[in-house]
Amino acid sequence: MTKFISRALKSYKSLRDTVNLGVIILCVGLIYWPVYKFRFLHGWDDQWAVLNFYTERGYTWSNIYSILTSFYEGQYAPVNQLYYSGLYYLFAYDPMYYHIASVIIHLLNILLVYYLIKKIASKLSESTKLNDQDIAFLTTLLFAVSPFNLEPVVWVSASKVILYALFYLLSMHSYCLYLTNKKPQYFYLTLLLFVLSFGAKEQAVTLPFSLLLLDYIYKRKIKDSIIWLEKTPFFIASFLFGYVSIESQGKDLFEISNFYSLHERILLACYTGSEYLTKLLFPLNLSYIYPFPFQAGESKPLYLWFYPIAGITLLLAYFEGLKRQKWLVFGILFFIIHLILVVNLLSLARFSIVADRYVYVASIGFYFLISTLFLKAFKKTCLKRPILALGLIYLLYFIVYAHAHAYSWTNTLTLKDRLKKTIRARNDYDALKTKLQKQ
Amino acid sequence: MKYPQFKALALIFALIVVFNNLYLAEVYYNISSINLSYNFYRQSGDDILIDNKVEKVQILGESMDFGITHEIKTDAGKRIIIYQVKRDSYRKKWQPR
Repeated sequence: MTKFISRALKSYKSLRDTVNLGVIILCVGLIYWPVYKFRFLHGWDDQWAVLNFYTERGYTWSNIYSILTSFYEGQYAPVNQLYYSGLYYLFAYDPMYYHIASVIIHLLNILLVYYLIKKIASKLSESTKLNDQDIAFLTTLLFAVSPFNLEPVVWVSASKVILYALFYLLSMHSYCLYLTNKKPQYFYLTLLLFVLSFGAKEQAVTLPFSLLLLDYIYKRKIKDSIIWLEKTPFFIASFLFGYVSIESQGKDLFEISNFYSLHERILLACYTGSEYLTKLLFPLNLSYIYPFPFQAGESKPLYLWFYPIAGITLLLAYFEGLKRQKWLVFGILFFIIHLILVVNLLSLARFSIVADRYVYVASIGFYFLISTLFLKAFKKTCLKRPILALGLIYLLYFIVYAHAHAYSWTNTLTLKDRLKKTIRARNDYDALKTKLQKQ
Repeated sequence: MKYPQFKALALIFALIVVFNNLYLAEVYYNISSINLSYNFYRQSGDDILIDNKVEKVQILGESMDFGITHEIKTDAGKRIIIYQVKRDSYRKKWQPR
């Protein structure tokens, strides 16, 4: 009898997983179905990042050697380049297949996020007191349909983000397996997947910290020397990868980052962090680039000084309480670990202060927090129907906005249209043209 | 100030930040009024696809991998016209949608 109940329970859980994932995939389909008619963005990096000689030379030894050993346009992303070479070998330069491939990778990431969060939520059940499948479903659904996560899926040149996420999440899964059954092959597999993840994008250097976070979730003692011994190869690899990334960007990285002084960068970091949080929560007027609120050396807008004050106040007020809630610690740290490199504190080798694609992995931590908070509120309240209705409206907003925003990525003209019109309407546009003529 | 009041104040501060960010997004990040960097202008300004084909007009300075370049001076400024050379396989498959 017990055996029968346990088998029935298992099959019910497995059926729920299938239904959950089916719903998520359906929502993703509703958003991304038009991608088959999207073009390459000839005015937004695809013309060199995708359409290039490495892509066309295919899987010859000399080309693979070149891809592995050289920097290209200040970047080192051999796994991503080999991915383009493979697509070119199969479909030449037909953009439809490149876009469909991106959506497929996004779907794979969705599967990985679902099962990773399910594992983590079951480990945190004492802290959350919620069903692991509910948390996994809601977190993954928000991750899958968020308009803020759309950019790396619909922009072919940003495939490095979804590829890095794929290997990164696989690496985390592999580490969970290692923690569960202590088989060394999973440890080596984690390391291999880490290397592949870095081969797609340099943001993967944060993996050792994610593994430490998993140690914390799996109730290992952080002070144990074995934990740090295990992480040594990962930290050494991270250090080397960081060095390679800096080398690939050359002198520009430091020259440009020196434009903003340290106190300006701290202000910008507070602003950038809050922008990522706001856009994840309420995506509005998303764009392919966002301007810095002031140029280096200029007087700062008054409102910016409020951001660090708000951040410090929030930290002081809630730090003690946060430490007691393990699920909050996980969500917040997961978010911070994956965002720390892109909040403009270290490098400003960019002209856009925020980039939607940078938050792809970090968003998992944020949506985990939102989902858990929502489920907790839903469990406790007597106003279940209004809360459910609000949740559905929020979800519908995500899906409708993401679908509408996807069309702006159809081609370069549609992508740049709004920004171009805004800039050309400026009073100083003629002065800019004169400036360009002189250069 | 008592601890619960401090917590409420911190929450209000956080809400002010969120609402300010939403306001900035609503006014499209002040793009029409703040000083923008040269690169920001360049990336948003003058890319044109001619007849939606692979030819391209760009402001001077953006790099390309391959193609025939031709520099001209227009009323709008000095530009390079880049006729990208594509493999036959791409040309054959390319169809205007």
